[in-house]
Amino acid sequence: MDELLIGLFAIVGGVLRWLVGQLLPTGQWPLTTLLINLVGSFLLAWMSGNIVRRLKIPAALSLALGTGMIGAFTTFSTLTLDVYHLILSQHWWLALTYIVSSIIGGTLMAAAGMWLGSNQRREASIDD
Amino acid sequence: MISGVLVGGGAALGAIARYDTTKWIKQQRASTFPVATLLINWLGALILGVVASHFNATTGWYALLGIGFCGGFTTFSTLSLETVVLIKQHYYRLAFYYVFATYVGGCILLAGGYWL
Repeated sequence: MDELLIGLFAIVGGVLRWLVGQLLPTGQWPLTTLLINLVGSFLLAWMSGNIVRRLKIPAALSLALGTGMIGAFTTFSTLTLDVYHLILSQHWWLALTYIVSSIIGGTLMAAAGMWLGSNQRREASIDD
Repeated sequence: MISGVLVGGGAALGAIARYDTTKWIKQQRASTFPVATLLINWLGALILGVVASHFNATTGWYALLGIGFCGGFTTFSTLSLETVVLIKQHYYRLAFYYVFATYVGGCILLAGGYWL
């Protein structure tokens, strides 16, 4: 039954990713995918904290939000396609900076999200 | 408008496939190394390579299979989260291998799919 909710929320995540792609100008730099992936990394890590428990969000819903919505919002396959196009058009430097920003940015955003989540846990335990 | 519907449908199928595949792989064998996400991102990159070489980016098929399915099947947020979890648990080498294997393997598989 989890599949149904995951699917429904994935529609939201996937369509949001598509809409952001439609709205942002397409330049040489694949900024859209990078931006989406960084925001999604932060949100998923933040959600993995205790916010779900604190707000008493049911497990099925948090699974749908994390695995479904944020999972479908971010993407890895488009990233590799972007890199492929950059390499084919011999934009080596752009390809490299894109990969490095994705790796470092994604890791830092997830770390920040996780850190914020654990800080909220500390505040919550003080309240308790 | 019609593209949005196709993207949404594809993303739903992709995310469900990712969830079920992850669950199945984790049942086969528990491991510290995030094998499931790695395999999913590799497979998704390969499929997108095939899709992108067969369909123009403006077609409905590309919206459904490329932007929708492959985009929803593969994930970047879980990759980031798993990397941070490995680092936090001091599995620095595993974290490096994970990121390295994901990117190098993903790019090679996408290119391979393109030429299929």
